[in-house]
Amino acid sequence: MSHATTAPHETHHDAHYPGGIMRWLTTTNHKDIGSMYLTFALIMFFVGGAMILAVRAELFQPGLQLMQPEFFNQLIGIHALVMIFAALMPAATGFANWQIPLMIGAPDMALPRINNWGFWLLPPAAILLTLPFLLAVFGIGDGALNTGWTMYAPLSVQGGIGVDFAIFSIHILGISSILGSINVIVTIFNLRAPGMTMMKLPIFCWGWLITAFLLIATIPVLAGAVTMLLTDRHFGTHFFNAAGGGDPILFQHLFWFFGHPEVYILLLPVWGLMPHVLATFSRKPMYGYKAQVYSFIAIGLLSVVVWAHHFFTAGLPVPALLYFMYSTMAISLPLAVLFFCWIATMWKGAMSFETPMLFAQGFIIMFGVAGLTGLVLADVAADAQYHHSYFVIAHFHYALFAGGIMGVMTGVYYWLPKWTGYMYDEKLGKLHFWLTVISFNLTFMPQFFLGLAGMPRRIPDYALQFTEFNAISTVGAMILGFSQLIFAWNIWKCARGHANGLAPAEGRAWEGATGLEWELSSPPPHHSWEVQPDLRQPGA
Amino acid sequence: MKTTHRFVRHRLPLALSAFSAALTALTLPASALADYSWNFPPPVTPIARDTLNIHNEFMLIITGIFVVVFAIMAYSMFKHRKSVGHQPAKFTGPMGRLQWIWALVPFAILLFIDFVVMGIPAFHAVIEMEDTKTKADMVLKITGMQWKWQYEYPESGVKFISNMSTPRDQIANKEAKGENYLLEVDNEVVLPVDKKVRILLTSTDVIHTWWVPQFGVKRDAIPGFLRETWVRIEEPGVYRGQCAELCGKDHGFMPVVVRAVPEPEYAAWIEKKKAEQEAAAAGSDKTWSKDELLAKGKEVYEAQCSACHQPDGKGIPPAFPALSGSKIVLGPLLSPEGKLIRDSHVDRVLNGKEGTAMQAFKATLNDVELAAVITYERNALGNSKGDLIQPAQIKALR
Amino acid sequence: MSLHPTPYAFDEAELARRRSASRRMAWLIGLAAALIYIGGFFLQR
Repeated sequence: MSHATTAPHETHHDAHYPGGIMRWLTTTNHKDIGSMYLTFALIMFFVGGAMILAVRAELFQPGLQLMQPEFFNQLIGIHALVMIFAALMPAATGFANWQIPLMIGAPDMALPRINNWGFWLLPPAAILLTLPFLLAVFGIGDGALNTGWTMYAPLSVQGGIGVDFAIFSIHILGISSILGSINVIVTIFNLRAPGMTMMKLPIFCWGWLITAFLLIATIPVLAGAVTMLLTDRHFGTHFFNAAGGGDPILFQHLFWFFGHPEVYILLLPVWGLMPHVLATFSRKPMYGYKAQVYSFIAIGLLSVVVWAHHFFTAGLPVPALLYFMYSTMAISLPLAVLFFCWIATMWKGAMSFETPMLFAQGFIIMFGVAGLTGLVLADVAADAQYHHSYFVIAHFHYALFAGGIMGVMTGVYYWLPKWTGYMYDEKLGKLHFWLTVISFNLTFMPQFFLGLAGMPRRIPDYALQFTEFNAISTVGAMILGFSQLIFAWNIWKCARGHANGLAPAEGRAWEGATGLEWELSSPPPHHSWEVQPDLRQPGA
Repeated sequence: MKTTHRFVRHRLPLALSAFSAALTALTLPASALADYSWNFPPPVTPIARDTLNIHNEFMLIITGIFVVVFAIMAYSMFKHRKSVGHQPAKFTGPMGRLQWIWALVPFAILLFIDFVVMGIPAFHAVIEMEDTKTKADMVLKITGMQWKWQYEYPESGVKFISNMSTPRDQIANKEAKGENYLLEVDNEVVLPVDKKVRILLTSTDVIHTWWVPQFGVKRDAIPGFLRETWVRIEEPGVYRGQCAELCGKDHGFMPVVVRAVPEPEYAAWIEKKKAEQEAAAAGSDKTWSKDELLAKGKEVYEAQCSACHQPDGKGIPPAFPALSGSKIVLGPLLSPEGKLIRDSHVDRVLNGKEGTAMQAFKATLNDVELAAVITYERNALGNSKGDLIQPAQIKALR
Repeated sequence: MSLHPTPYAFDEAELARRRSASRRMAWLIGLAAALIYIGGFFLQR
């Protein structure tokens, strides 16, 4: 790679970096920041996982064995917030940081310093969220947020300091997400290589672009809702108090106006990376690029107009029930386009089944379960039975674990050779996949039946008829949780590939991979694309 | 690369059979229990029957879609593999009219399933479910409160609170769990069969959700607002459910038990309840001895207060303060003129404290119960203030 | 799609121009987000 066309001082940039911790505190390099996001996400994935394993252990048998209901209520809510805001979203932002500049032929993200800020807001936010656990040990306050992650007023108005900590944490997390989104949008709009039109943009970038717009539109609404909650708690306002002319249901509207798009915020980056993986391991170009892009846009638009299906039991007027039912059902159409394109991409290819491909296919099948159960959940009448039950818990874990987290794992295995320069341990990867997929189903399939039998969610103890399925679910969860240590070990091993004697990865780490990122060396040079690739047709 | 394909050829079937073995293992202990539930419990109202039919139909449809779609994918995974020498095609979209038709047919089918096969029955079910206002035979008002339900029959004025009756020792695994563990109450709500009961819901503190799975009814109880739903129970029996919206500490211990009986039996029960209530109201005019108040107060304390303030009165600070040695409890009872003192013990019990789980008990307890529990708290739980308050004094404060 | 890097690159001036365009756009998006946030408080039930 020649440096001739860029300013000469840039070539010495590595040397200007401070060493040690300061390097990471001050870095503006998209690859460093991407790695920090991904590492942070992995750590928080284990923190959130440990919380829910404690919950599952409590639910192994009827009766209270390990904890009191107060602590149980704190664990379930913080588990959700940690997994969503501190594991899944940072992981997706990590992908964006690493991959978008590589994929569009840019030297870095457009706003590198904002990028650094976006990341360094996360650790304090995570600390704020979990600190009340520790404070309670020292006798200050009564623990963390105890209302579930939905923070419904007036329960959250009643809560202790944990609620205030969560409100501040959410503000900081929100600012971080908005900064990240701004960076993605302006980078994609301004730093594409010459000749890369929007309809030639890699589909992963399209997925992230829609996610970024959704974040910009909905995070301020969540921030507004929790600010109102804060003023209701401490400054005598009555946004959510009927006695003062407010309405508790207003909070649910505001929360889910953010909360439903949030589901797609978590999933769009994954839907974006899937076609790349499927095409690579099918050795065939992806099917229906345009159809997928338009589906992303359609899902993005639909996602902001279906929110009230999260509280069908709250007593909405009939026309509202019907509208939200039918609009929710409509999402199945663009989603079906995506499934069709994924399967058509594999169709008549020459498939091989390396770990990323296994994860991608596992993702498609289990995310299918989530999509189809989502379709029946949209039905208001049947929803009266499913709502607030374990059926819903099973449904959204098929969407967000099998869909979100397994999608992230697909991406990690797919790009790990590019990031580290070494091929990860394929045997460990496959072991990780099979353990994950089997124990995941063992954990969540029984929860569908628990929900149908009438077990409400968020209860620390349950009636005797729910015993067997809960026991099975807990065994599954333990296997699922501990299997993830293989994942962490595999990444660690790959990151230190030289010391572990792993094979170096070529620039094009996968035989069937196409796209700009594979034109660079593995790992890519310090300034990713110092010379812009030119995608214009010769003579055009 | 070679090892990869060997894995798929030899170990993929192995892994799949291990997976199905796991699934079988999953079903084994359950099938050992003959009455184990894989679906909704037996429906006893028209709504629940509708819901079950819709659910069964929809499950069949989505299972069908799942099998067809992933059979196609599985076929591709076995046929279009590099290891069997399949040469990759190059297409990136539908080519030619035939392929366009193939690509569009699934969406036409899905559109039809969504809005016709599923959409039409769903529409009728919603309309029926929300039909609360026509031809109601009676009204039942349900008030959710942390962590119990209050039931009120406006026509006859009968009103009572229903608390979970499962002993705390069963929850703490100190004694064997009963048959209806966590799903049993001290006062069951009684309803007549074959009558359309219009149910009004509200709450005094946070949002609760009233749910009886066999009725197919789940509706939120929202503080400051009325929500409604309806049931027509078709078979006599005892039906159990519980609160479905996280409402704080004892959310898991807030069961609903409905006893459905034939009309005459219901009428007799209402008369009995009415008589009980009148007897209790008469008690507020007589003068009670301290021992009588303490005995009654202990009963009330254990049913209403001990969940938060704990049976020994030590509470769970800071959310649930201790009553033992509390400044408020040991403060003055009433002003010299017999008036309420702001933020005193009596004020707290009667009017609650806004923004906390401490509710206004004057709405749910009668004069005798209030006087008894106040007297009890001042002279038990490690306190020995020595004074007492008469039901008549409470009555004067209302 | 031709993927061969050619000597063409955004020169220093072009890159600077694109970065300042990015900054302007970032302020605009940030402003939009702030407006949504503030607008929410004027919501009437």
